[in-house]
Amino acid sequence: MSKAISLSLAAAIVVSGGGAAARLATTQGTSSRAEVAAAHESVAIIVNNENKLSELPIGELRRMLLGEVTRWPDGRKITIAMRESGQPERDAVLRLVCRMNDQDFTRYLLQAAYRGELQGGPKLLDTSMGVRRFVFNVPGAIGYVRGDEVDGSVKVLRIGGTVPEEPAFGLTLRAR
Amino acid sequence: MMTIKQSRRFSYAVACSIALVMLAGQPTSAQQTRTPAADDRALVEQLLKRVEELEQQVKALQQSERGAPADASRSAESATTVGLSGSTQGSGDMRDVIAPAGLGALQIRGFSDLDFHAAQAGDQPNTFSLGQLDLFLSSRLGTDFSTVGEVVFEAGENNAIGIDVERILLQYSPSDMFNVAAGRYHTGIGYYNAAYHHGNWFQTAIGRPFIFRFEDDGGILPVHGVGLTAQGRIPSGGAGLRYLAEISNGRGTRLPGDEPVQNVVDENGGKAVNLALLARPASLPGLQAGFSVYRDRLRPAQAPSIAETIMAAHVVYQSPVFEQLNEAIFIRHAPADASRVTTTTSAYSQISRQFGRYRPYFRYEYLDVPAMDGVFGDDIGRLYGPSVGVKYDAAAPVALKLQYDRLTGRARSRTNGLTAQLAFTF
Repeated sequence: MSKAISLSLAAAIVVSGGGAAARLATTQGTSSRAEVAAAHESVAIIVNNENKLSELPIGELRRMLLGEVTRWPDGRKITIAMRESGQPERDAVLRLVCRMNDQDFTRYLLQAAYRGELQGGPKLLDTSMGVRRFVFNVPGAIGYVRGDEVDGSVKVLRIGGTVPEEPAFGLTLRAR
Repeated sequence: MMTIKQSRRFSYAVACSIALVMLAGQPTSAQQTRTPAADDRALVEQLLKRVEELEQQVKALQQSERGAPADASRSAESATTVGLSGSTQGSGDMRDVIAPAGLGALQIRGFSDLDFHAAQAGDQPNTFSLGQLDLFLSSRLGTDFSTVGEVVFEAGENNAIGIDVERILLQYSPSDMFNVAAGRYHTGIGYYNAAYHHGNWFQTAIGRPFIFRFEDDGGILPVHGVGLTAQGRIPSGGAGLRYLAEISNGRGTRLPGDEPVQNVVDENGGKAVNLALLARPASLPGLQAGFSVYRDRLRPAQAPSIAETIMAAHVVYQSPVFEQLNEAIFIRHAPADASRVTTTTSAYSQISRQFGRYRPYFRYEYLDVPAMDGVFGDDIGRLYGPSVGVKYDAAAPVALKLQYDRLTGRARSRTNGLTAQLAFTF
């Protein structure tokens, strides 16, 4: 029984880790190690596959995360999916997109709710797989995962004209 | 909790297991008891019947899965909502069995503070002052509706504690371009009034600028309104334009001492209107500039009616590190008989910067109420001066502030001198 569970966990890890980086390494064949590493160190902004957008200016992403923009262009309600506090992906998004740390962000949301400008906050999920699954299931959702954790169940938005595999991509866990 | 897919797999597994166990056990049983062929047939029929039952259960589960609302079947399994505090709240899809469908959980957050004022010689005695106990209530009522409210418990000058419903609003938000709310709200005159409400914990300084003081604290603006307020984005690209439009009962001025906020009965049929245009440029996050015009007609007892026009302009910049607030407000009172037209002038500027847990700040404010003003009288006059202080974030929800006020004028702040404040949220 325990062996079976171990096998299942191993399979799950293999599946969850076989994202964009794996695709780069196996299907394209021409990808360099640098691209794979770039994907691992980057944060991909993901939306539901039904979402017609393919690119988002970083300023618009900021306004979405801060609750200033609550609807997609087609009128659908935006639902933000975030990891819980302390996760490097969350810290990177808050630092690079919102220009805030976690405490500032929390305080900002609280004050926006207090002003009556924010109805409901981001959805918090425990794992990257949870974020992906949430975004897959909720048509108006937007979230983020590491670049190499992306799979075909969600769509990666171009931010500032680039995607996580590209060296010029700005949303990285560490400053480049 | 087991999902539908899991329960379906489980049902199949149970069926297969029962069948396998029964079939596996069959030869042994036959060898031991030499069961006749008729018994075998009965056993097979029994197994088939059991398999049929399980298949029916699987069908029922499949049907219930198809019949379930799309959102429910698609909802993420472990999502929680970060709302008022940043700590995890209840699930966003949580349903109360006794609540109507779509009614979200009521969230309550509290704010309060305790002040200690060391007065200057000849002023009031040194004293502890219990601040407001502010209960902020909010609830989502479906996709487009929500409600916010503020109930404040506050002690007055006579030390008796009273209760005020400071805000209660039903909000309808069908799009970013149009949000409308009905109820009692903080008027959008200038910036400070709608940005900061009753929780002192949010504010950098210990108190509000004099011009934005609440009506029951000596304030001269119609800070609260009862009516409708609408706001939204104006398609304007990077300019980030927004509008605000409000219609309310306005302030009551019929008799001195009356409640200034006309909660239930308006003293006249006319309504106060406030319109504002704001800009939040995308290229400078944190910057906001705006202009508002408020119009009302006041009808004091035994005096001609007074046309009130309040114009306010502001330029503010706020980031987690740096803050600068600049506002100017003009209140024009024009009696119907065209006598004694007066204009009250007010402005303030506040600057602060965060250094770790410390945020030193400086504010200078100016207020000049003409002695002949038909609404304010000659009690206030001119008031001006600096306030300097430091805010220390002892913990995320606890702030300790120390402020020195040096205001000059007849109606100088009653907190002139040194004041310490412990403000917190819970």
